[in-house]
Amino acid sequence: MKEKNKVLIIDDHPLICDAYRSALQQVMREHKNINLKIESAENCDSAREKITNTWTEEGWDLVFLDIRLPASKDRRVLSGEDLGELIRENHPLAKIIVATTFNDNYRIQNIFNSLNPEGFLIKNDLDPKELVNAIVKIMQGGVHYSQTVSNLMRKKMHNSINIDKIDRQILYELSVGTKMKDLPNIVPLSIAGIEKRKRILKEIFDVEDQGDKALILKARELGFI
Amino acid sequence: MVLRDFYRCYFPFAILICLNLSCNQVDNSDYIIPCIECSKIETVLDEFKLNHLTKSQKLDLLNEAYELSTQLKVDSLKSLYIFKISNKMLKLKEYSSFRDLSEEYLLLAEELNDTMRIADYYWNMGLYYSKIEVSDSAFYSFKKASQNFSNVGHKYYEAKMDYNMAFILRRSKNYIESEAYAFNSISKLNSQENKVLLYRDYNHLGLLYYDMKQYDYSINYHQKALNIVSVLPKGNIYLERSLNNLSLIYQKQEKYDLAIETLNEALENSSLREKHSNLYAKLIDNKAFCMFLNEEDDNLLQRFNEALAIRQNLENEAGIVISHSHLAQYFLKKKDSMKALAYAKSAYEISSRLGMNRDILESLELLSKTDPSHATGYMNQYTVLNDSLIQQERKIREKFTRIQFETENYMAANENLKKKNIWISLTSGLALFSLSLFFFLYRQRSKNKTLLLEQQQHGFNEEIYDLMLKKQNRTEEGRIQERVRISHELHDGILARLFSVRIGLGFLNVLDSNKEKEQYDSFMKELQLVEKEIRTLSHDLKNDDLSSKKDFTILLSELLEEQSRLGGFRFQLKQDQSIAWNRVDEMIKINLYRMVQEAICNIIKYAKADEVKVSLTRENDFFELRIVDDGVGFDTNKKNNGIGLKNMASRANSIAAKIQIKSQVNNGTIITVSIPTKTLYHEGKK
Repeated sequence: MKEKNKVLIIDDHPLICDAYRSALQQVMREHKNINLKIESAENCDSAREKITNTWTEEGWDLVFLDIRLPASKDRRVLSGEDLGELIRENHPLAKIIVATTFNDNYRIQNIFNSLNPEGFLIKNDLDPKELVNAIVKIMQGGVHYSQTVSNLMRKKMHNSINIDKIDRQILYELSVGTKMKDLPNIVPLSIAGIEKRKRILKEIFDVEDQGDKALILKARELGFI
Repeated sequence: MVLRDFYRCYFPFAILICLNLSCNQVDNSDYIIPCIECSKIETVLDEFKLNHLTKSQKLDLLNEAYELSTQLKVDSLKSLYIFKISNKMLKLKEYSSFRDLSEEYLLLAEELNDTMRIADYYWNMGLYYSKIEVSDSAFYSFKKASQNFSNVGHKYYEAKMDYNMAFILRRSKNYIESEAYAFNSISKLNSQENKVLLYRDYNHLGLLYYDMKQYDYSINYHQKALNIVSVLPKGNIYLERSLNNLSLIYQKQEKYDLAIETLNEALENSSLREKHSNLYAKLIDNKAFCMFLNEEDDNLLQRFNEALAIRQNLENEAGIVISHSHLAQYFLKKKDSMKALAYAKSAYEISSRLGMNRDILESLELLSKTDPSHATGYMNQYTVLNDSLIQQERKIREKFTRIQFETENYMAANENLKKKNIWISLTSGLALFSLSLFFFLYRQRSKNKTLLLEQQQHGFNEEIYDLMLKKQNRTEEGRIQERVRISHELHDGILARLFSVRIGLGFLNVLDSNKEKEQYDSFMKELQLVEKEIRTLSHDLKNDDLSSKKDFTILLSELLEEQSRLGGFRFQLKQDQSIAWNRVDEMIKINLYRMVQEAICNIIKYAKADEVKVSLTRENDFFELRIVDDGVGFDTNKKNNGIGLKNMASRANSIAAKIQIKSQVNNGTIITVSIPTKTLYHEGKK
């Protein structure tokens, strides 16, 4: 184990950053072999700088990543997800702990698909003890997912439904009340194409001849959104 | 000379017949005797018919009847009796009394405004004038009578008047016009009517053509007259008269044998001698004259004398003139100039006394032959008389022409009036028509205006609906936005801060005692629960968005709720969740909404329903809107089903939907609107 591991906390709430620090310090207190150098970034701009302009040859070892962040000023980094991709690109060895208040399946799944983080914490499930445990576990090369996330993963493993990203996006957009006429601006498909996918989705979820609401409820029940 | 015969023979005859008819006509109205005076008059008049009375006695009776009739109060009755009495006066040749009575009769008739009676008056006046041989006045009177009969449309009497006028005209030597009137008279008769008049017309024409020396025509018409003699009333002497007339033509054509034969045929009637001795005398006289002309001397003198004797016996002076004239010719031939002169003189004297001009001329001619010594004097007298006669005739003819012209003017004026009337009625009809047309157009226009206004109102209604929808959408959008905002606020702000506070607290480790630690942990758990609740709340706020997609159905249910309260009925709104209303074109939704509104309106107005079911369903390829009520229903076969249903139909048509209205009286109404799903969504694409 190296003497010093570099940790980056990315969260727009200073209080949360402090909480993470406290947790890390407690880890250091309890495990004398772990030595950490902690830095934090409170917005996308500073986070990107810290990720891309590393002054040492070694990169970040552990990153706490909040998903909902104020976008960068140049609008190129819009969320923690984009930062996560940057981290994966620049610091392949870094371990990522996603900590978010999101608990909807769609977002969680999307994050899994794009970042495949070592830790996935749902802030509201979290308490100090779990946080400390999660850090230790991940530092030692394991993974840790919050209860909500684990449940979702299990549910997904259980059912045989297989839909692609666009399908999920459509379902998600419908669930948040996006209008059909606006969908083509979000999903790279025509109205007819979307309509067709929706019909297939209804078949898959066994809600034929019912409204969108039925489809969404079913999809949510099955953990797709 | 022969001409003279006809006048004498026919003129009184014609008058008698006409007079009879004239009386008959009035008698028809004399159905009951309605009062004591009337019955008294009737008895007086009955008494008058007795033959043995002398003329003065008869006159007394008539005066008595007149006295009685003046007491009558009913004008129509009074006029009837006055007419009867005046007729009898005419028969008695009491002309002044007749005229007075006739004038009175005319006044009454005019008072009663009875055209028939006025016509009767003129008829009688015509007879009177022809009796006293005032031809122009007679003609005028007959013409007037004819006009009046024509006014009341009495063809038969018109024909009679025509005959009378023809008769008068012939007497005045107006042959051409006389011919025209005779033909007029015939043309006005129809086959069913009394043939006597037709016989008379034929006979008249026969005589007329004789006068005009067209003997073949004359024979032809006499034959025609003879042909219908068989259907004429029996006991008359039509046949014998016609035969006599015919014989005169043969005599003129110098077919004496034929003439004699014809006369013999007439003489076969053995009753002639007693009943119609006048005609009998004429026949034998004519026969003798024919034989004389044929130079057959078979008791000629005896025959002439027999005729003369009968005539003298009858005091038939005109007949005596003829007999004397014949005898004069006979004796002239026999060279017995003394006797010839005596007869010729006698003929001249009698004819002069009677004013029979033609006979005077003939006797003058005879005298000049029988008395050669005074021949020049007679011839001079002859020429003077002849000239004056011709002049007189011409004057009379001119008078006739004037009367004719005047009456024709009158007719023309009448015609003009008629034309005017036609024009007036035509123009007034036209005016009425155009007025009604105008009225109709006006109504149509106002109707159109109402329709236009209605249409405009519909347009406004649609706009209102559109605005309602938009407003609904806006508020919904605002609501959603607000919810999303709150949800985000809760989620990103409050929740994050709560979390950070909780975690931060967790790392403080300020507490030592176990008890306090436990308490601390439970607070932390509580805090975590609060976070969870907030998160759920935030989610729920967002997820409620789904309900906002049912804007159309919300409007519908709002409508139904409101109307059901108004109309006091229960309602059910069923809808298929699978219909994506946000994809359906607003126009379709507007029209569907309007149709529901219209139907509900009808239900409230007419149906008196307790329950209304509205359903929006999708089955296979069709979308269906169904409105069912349990009200009184109506007869769908009735043509005029009101503007509401028509509107619904036109709305359905405008969105390519099919509408079906099923209803039975007292059995509710079912309205079904179906649209292919494709149309429903394709419209949405536009």
